[in-house]
Amino acid sequence: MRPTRQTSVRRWGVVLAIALLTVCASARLGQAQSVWELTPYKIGLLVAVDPTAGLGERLQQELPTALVGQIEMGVGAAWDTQLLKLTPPLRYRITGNLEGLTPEDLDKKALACDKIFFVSVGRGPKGWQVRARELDGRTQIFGPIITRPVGQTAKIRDAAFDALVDAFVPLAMITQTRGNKSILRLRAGELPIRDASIGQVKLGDVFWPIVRYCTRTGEIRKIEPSHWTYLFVEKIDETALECQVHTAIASSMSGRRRGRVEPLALLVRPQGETTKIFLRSRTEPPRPLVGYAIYARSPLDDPRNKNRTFLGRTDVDGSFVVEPGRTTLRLLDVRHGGGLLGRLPVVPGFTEVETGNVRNDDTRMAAEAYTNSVQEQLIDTVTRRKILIGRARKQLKEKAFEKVEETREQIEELPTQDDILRELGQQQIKLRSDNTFMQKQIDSMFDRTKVMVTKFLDRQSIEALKEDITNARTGKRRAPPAASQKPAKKPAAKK
Amino acid sequence: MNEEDTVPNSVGRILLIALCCWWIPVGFACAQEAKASKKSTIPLYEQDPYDIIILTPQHKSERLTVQPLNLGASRRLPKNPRRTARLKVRLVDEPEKEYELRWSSIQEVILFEQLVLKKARELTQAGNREEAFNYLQYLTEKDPRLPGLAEAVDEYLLSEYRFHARQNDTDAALIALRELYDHNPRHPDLPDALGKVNQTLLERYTQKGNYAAARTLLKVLFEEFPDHPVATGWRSQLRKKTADLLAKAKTALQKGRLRQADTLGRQAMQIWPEEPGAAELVAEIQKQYPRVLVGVREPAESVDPTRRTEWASRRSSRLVWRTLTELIGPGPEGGDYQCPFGTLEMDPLNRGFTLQLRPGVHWSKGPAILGGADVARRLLDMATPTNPAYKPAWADLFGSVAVEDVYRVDVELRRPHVRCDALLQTIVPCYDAVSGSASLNIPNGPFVLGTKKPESTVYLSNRQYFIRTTGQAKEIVEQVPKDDRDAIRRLRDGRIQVLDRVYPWELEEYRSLDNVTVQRYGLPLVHCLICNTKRPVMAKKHFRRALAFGIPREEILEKGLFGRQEEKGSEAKPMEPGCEVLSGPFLKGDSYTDPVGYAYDTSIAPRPCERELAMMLACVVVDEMEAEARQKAAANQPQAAQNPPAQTKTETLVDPSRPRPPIKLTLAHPPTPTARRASEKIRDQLRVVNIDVTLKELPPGPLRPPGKDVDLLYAELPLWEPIIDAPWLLGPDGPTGSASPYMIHVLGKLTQAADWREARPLLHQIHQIAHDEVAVIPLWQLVEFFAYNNKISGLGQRPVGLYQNVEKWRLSSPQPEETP
Repeated sequence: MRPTRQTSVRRWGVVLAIALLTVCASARLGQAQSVWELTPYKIGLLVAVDPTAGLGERLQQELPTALVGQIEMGVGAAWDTQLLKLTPPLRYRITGNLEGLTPEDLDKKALACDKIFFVSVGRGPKGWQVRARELDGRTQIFGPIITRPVGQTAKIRDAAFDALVDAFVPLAMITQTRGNKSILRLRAGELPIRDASIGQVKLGDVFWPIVRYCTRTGEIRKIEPSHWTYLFVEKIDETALECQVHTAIASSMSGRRRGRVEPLALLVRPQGETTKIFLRSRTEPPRPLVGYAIYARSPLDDPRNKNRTFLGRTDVDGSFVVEPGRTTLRLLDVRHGGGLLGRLPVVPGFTEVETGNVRNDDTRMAAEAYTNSVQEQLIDTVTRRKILIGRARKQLKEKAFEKVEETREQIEELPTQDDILRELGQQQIKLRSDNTFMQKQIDSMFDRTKVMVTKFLDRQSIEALKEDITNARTGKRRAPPAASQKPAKKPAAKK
Repeated sequence: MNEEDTVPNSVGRILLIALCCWWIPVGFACAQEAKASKKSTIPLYEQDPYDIIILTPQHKSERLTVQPLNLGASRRLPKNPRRTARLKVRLVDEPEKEYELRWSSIQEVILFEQLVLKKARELTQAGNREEAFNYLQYLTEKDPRLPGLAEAVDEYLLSEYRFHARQNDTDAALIALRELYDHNPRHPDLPDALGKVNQTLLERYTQKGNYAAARTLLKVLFEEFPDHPVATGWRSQLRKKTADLLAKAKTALQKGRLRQADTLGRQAMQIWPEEPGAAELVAEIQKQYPRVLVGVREPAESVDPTRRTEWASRRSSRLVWRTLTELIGPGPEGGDYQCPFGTLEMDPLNRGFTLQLRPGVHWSKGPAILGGADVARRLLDMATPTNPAYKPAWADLFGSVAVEDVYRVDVELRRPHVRCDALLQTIVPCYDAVSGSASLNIPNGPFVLGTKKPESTVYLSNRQYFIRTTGQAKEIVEQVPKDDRDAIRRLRDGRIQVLDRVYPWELEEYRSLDNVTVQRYGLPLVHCLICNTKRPVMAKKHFRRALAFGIPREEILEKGLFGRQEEKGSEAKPMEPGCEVLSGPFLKGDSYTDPVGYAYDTSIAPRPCERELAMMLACVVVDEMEAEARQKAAANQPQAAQNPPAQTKTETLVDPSRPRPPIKLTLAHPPTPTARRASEKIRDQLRVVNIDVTLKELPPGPLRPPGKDVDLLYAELPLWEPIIDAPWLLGPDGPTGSASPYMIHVLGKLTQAADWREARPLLHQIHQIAHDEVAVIPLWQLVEFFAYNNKISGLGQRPVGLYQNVEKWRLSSPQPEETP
């Protein structure tokens, strides 16, 4: 039956509708992306001058405005800066305890900003010092405190601007994750910045993923910073950053997220020199993992390359200090004995201390040590056996039958295959791990050792010697091993 | 022969006898000559005895050789036999026939003994002293009263003396004269000969300062010849010398020069202790200035008590420094530690301790008194990585410290530790009040360092010592004897009162001295070979095992060090208690229940010496290294054919008959006689298994990791607290330079052990791992000994260190003993 004209029109209509919807949807998505990149950072600025710093009232009053002006001049369209209301308690907190600030210290209006900058001016070793700190409004994560000493009051504004700009941490949205690659887009990325060095992202920079869960009304429900996960910038394509995901957790970046979820990422700016890592076992209670070997490589290294730099071993409290490498991000391998237990990406100096849980390798290690010891003992036993058999044969040649008998008894006293296999079996029962992967490794070690024992401690040579002794006493000769039977020649069939 | 025969018959018979007698001697003489020619090589006294009868000229002076005459037990000829009496004889050639000879026909009878004696004299005169001695000995045993024998012996002994005198062997000459004196004290040549010999010896002894020997010599000479001019002359001389010294000593004492007085007094007592007034004067000097002379085998290069691996520093540091805790002996749970500055009370859960200091603990200089703040500061220094006093093990444990009421220090630990007091064997220096810096030159021990010379070091009493007692020594002088013989002479003669170390091979000799007590130290040392696992061949575990199998440790310990030789037919002497071969680098203790061996797993037996196994394993290593070299060469030449993959070790059990070059190793050892001797024995034994060892003697100093060019390091280690020492020795930062991951892992668990229930099984595990990995080849535990003479007391029973009880040392009567 041939389609009617009416049917084809309807079909085309449906197709067109679907196409339109698709276009609208992608437009909307694109629109969302464009909004992210085209909307400037909403910056809230709080400038607090310590009244006891000996700075004049005028400076105290003019500084915030001057700073806003400086921002406009230096940054431009990418930042939309406004001064926030500075209450006396807040001033006191900012000048006296910048480290102790929390989001609860701010009102809703402040928290609605993308970035809140706290600038504190007070006494310093060179006269005064300016300290700046950022709070990212979306992730509610404080940045590091940047300090600038100032010797002259005239330089305070510039110092404050420098500190503020250094305290700024670019925010990105993770727009796509496929396998171990992610695409990030920078907030206000499409907007030009007058001073290109401000908030600049370059190859090799590292981002820290943070997932923000919001309610329908846009309020924050939960903020979930990722642990042991970093995004390493491999390629910059206009405003899109192509990043490699490095994580110690299998499903950190994957999995369906329901509800209003914003996968964000903050640029990592390590302020410290080193990070101390405490390795703990995944047991209850967790125990420090002592003597575990730490190896490092760079994200720029070819992962197929097995070469790693040995950094050292964990201390008696399971700790290890990681120092900066040639890249901001270092990829650590945690090894114990012959096995790899875990991979930890670390940005040295980003945090002072981190705790990593890896599987407890004790049982595998004990099994490895035990099986190695058995193998070494096997070498000795096999060697002794060969020596004794050789000696017995020599004595047999000399017809010293008494000595042969003594030697034969010594051979019999050596550990036998059964003895060793029995002991291996007993130990294998004791050395069991709850971890399936580890148990496989343990079983493999024992199996390998058993194979060696079976192969090298068979009784063939001993039995052959015994037979030869018997034959020598009785004057017989040992029958040669059965030769391969050639088929008897059949007489040719008569035609 | 019948006297009643008729005259013709009797003549005939006599004629016949004479004829026979004529023939017999002739025939016999011929036979004798023949025999003699055969017997000429056999000494006369070993030949069959015979006598000789010489007939009268009427019977042509015939010589008859007869069997020994029956002259009774004494074998003496009758003095005046009746001429008609007959002597029954049997010719040597005709023993079955008995003849009778009238005494009237006998000119002379020479008995066999006289023949031997005559021969002896001939030999003596000819200078054949050895043979002569044998002859004389035979006669002395057979017939000591033989006339002429005594003179012959005198003659012999005199010839001995003359011979040795010509050789200038004065000692042997004296022995010969002594024997002559014992034999014949009235021999006319004795006084003169003895005088000459004694003169020479006395001059020699006094020149060497060996007055005890000189006095002994004089004593004997006086006993033998009370008025001998040599004896009287020398006595006067020595007494005068003594008197002079005593006078000087008295003067020095009066002038307050006590050390000089003591030295002079001692010298006087060395020369003639019986001089009237000597003992009293010296006692008075010693009462005012007790001074102890200690013989030390090695001088202390440093008195730093933290240099525990060095014998001399460990010993002498106790004189100068008291540490916060001190090991005073084994206890029921590890060592027994004491705080000399007060009391240390551990928390029952081992989570901390309280130290209550006694007031008035000064350092040797200045008014400062030890307080809680000083202790606290020191504990903090020990936990600070940048501080020279830093101890990682303490830093890991230390939590906090609080000082209360000046003298009370409360310390909290981060976690429980079974033996944290062992970590407190540290000095507490005097901190400067202004700068806060620690002064390490102001010690707090009973003595301070006085003068230091290569041959002696003087320690002077610390006037500010906080537990100084009356009668305590005011001076300790450590003297280094020239050699082993000098050491024993000095101790025996009283020139030193104590000797810090008696080596195993000297034990019997020291124990045989009457006036000397030999005592063992409280804790043995562990002797081991530390392997430099950074060297390619030493990195191979089976090679290290080859070394362990190739060294016969029991044999070296018993024979090489203790000098015990097997005596056939007698039971082997038991080994010195506490000295035995080990299977791991921990003390085993004296017995199964000895708490010192808490880390030692007695179920692990030491590896026996199996040379063939050692050689086979060494062959495997050689083959492996050759294969590795070939592979390396092939890798550098990419076009070369690929080598097959290396086989496992059990597959390459090789043909040992193929000649292989020896493996060359360097074994470094400290400059102590024990280490030197043991290392030489090890070298000799390893040569048998085709391992060539070159020895390298290290300079004095604490144990350092083996140098780059050293494969093995011989070490004598005081591993008295394994729970602290095991991580140091066997950890990755220890002298071996590396540790397996499993060892590191278990050591880490050990540092976190909260109680003995946890710690002990871990230590046994560590023992097993150390045994398997052989990064340290255990040799033996060796008990150390010291000796002192009966002029000193208070050294204590089995001290850990020589000076552990130095405050209680007391000198008694100063007279040195005579030499036996």
